[in-house]
This record gives sequence, structure tokens and C-alpha cells, in this order.
Amino acid sequence: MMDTSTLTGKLVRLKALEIEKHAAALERWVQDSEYSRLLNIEPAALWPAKQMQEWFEKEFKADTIFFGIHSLEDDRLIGDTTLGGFDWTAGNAWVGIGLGEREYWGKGYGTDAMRLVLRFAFRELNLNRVSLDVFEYNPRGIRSYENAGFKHEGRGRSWLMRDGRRWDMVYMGILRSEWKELQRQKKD
Amino acid sequence: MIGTQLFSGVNLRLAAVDAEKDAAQESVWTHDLSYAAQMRQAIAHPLMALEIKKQYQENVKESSEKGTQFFFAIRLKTDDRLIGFMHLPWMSWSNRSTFLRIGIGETVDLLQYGCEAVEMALGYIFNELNLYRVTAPVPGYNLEYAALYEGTGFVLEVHQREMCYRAGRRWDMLLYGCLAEDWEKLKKEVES
Repeated sequence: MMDTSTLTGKLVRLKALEIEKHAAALERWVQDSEYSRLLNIEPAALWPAKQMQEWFEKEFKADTIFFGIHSLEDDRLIGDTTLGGFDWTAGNAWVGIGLGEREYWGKGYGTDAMRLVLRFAFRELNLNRVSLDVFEYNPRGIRSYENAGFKHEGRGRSWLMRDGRRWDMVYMGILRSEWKELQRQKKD
Repeated sequence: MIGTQLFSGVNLRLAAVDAEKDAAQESVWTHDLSYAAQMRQAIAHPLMALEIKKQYQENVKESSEKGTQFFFAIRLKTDDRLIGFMHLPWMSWSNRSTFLRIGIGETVDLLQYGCEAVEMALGYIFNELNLYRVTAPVPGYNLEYAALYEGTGFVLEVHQREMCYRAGRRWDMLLYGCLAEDWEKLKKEVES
């Protein structure tokens, strides 16, 4: 049964990382500190591609699933997404997603990628829920996750400190039952 | 003058972990799966003293080499009996934010000494580590811990729905948060 449709959406496709190319892309992406600050709670910093490649080679754990996000029209690598922190007993995983190429922001590419991750998580991994956290100062991210079906589950008050003030951590989650209901509505 | 005794409370003291002896004791406690889930993020199951000892050694190593975690034993001052552990498993220094896991082995000790243990942890977190907030995760079935944090200045901030599985059903994961100002308020209430 040859099937690559599960990981193919309307705008993007999820593919296994090619470490060398990915590290080179990341070196460019983190030069845009807005990318790092939307994605990471740790201080934004600059890393050479070689070091990031070494990090993948040394630290890569089989219990995290990495995907490169590629645009369907020209197969360009525009971002990446991970599913990790699996709790197979409760059926939970955490998702992270980032688009490094700015010109793809705010056009539905991230939401399309997230829909693919959710389809993979529920249909293939048989998870019961998918979790994420997102920073208060990232309304575009929050809207995208809402559009993909995530529900708000609370806020960690004043969790982050950036630009001299504190910001909440927004927690979101989607249950398998909610995802299934969304699929049913789409068919109707 | 500053408060000099961070590790000595009314009834309790925080102590360095004794990898051999404390691991043997905690192995007994992990047979209570609610305790095991409260102290560790991993799937709750009874742990061998051997694996617990290895975890302690990793905690201490990471603590001294990277300063990204702190891990102490909680003991009674009167007879030095070990009653539980306090673990700050991960620090975000740039955000001045951390996580807190307190586990007390016996329910009777949890009810009697839990508040004091949390207050000592908060004193360390805010007075010595200079942090601004702490998050305490509590699986929804651990009612004693939820009550403990609610009584010590924490606010229930997040319900991660169906995040836990125990005793044949799903439970929410509760995230409690305490900010420096919540703690200041608590101290004033205790003093007045």
C-alpha cells in the first residue's frame, strides 16, 4: 500500500529532514530573531550550521518525530515541525511548529502543516490528544492553532520575560473526539 | 539583615540527597503510583532503588555542571527521618521561571508537613534563586497535592484535558502557578 497522501495537504507536504540542508536553513532562519523569539523560550542566539548538524547527529532521539515542511508548489523547505514528549499511556504528545521563511507567514501554510500533523497524530499514532504552548505575543500563532481546532486550556501568568515585560504562556490542546468532529463537519 | 536559614524550617530541613539510602526509601514510595506520578514526568511505575540512584546522580551532575536544576531531600529536624523530596527539574533563567515537584512519601506526613515544605521551596525559589514564577504540575487525581498548592499561594491556571491516565480512566493535568507577588501576599497573610 503506497500512500504518501496522509502527509500531503493543500499547500504543504511533510517530509523527513535532510540534516545537512536543514542545518543550513536553520542557520539562516535564526538570523531572523523574530523566528527564534516566537518559537523558543531560551534566549535567541546564532549558531553555525555545522554545530546544528552536530546537534542533530548527537542529540537526535528516536522518540521525537521531526518533519520538514515543504511547499507543494516548488518543494521548497519553508519550516519544520516536531511531535515529541510522547506519553503513550495517556496518548498525548506535544507539537512544535515554525516557519523559517517569512514570506510564507500569515498565508495558511502553517495551519495546513498543523492539520497534517494532527491527522498523523490521530490517524496513525492513535493519540488521544495533542498539546502545545504558545506565547501571548504571538497572536498569529494562536489564531492558526484555533483554526486547526485547538482549544484554550489556560494561561501560565507572566511566564516569559521579553523586551522588559512579562508575557503569559498560552496552553492549548485538541482531543481526538474534537478532531473527529471537525472531520465530520468538513464532509457535511 | 537577610534571612540566613534557607534550609531549616520549623519542623523540616532541606538536605543534600543521600544517593544510596534515600533511593532505597523512595523505591518503597514509588509503589504508590500517585506518588510516582507526582514526582516524575515519566510513566508511573514502581522504580528500582538502582534506577532511582542513577537519576539522583544525574540530577546532581546536571545541577553542578549546568545549574539548570536543584534537587533536595526533605527531612524532619527532630529525628532526621526522610519524608520526601523537592525537585526543581528545569530552570529558565532568562525568563526567571521554573517548575516545582514536591513529593511526600506518606499521606500523614503530606498533611502535616506539606505546607511547610512548599513554603521552604518558595523561600528558596524567590529569595535565593531570584525567580519570578514557579509552575507546579498536579495530575487531577492527586487531590491532596491540589489542596496543598491551593493553600500555599498558588493559582490554578491550566487544565490540560485528559492529559493523564490512571486507575482505568483519563484525568486532567492541573498546572498551578505562583508568582513572586502571590508569595508576598501569602507571607503577609501568614504574618498577620
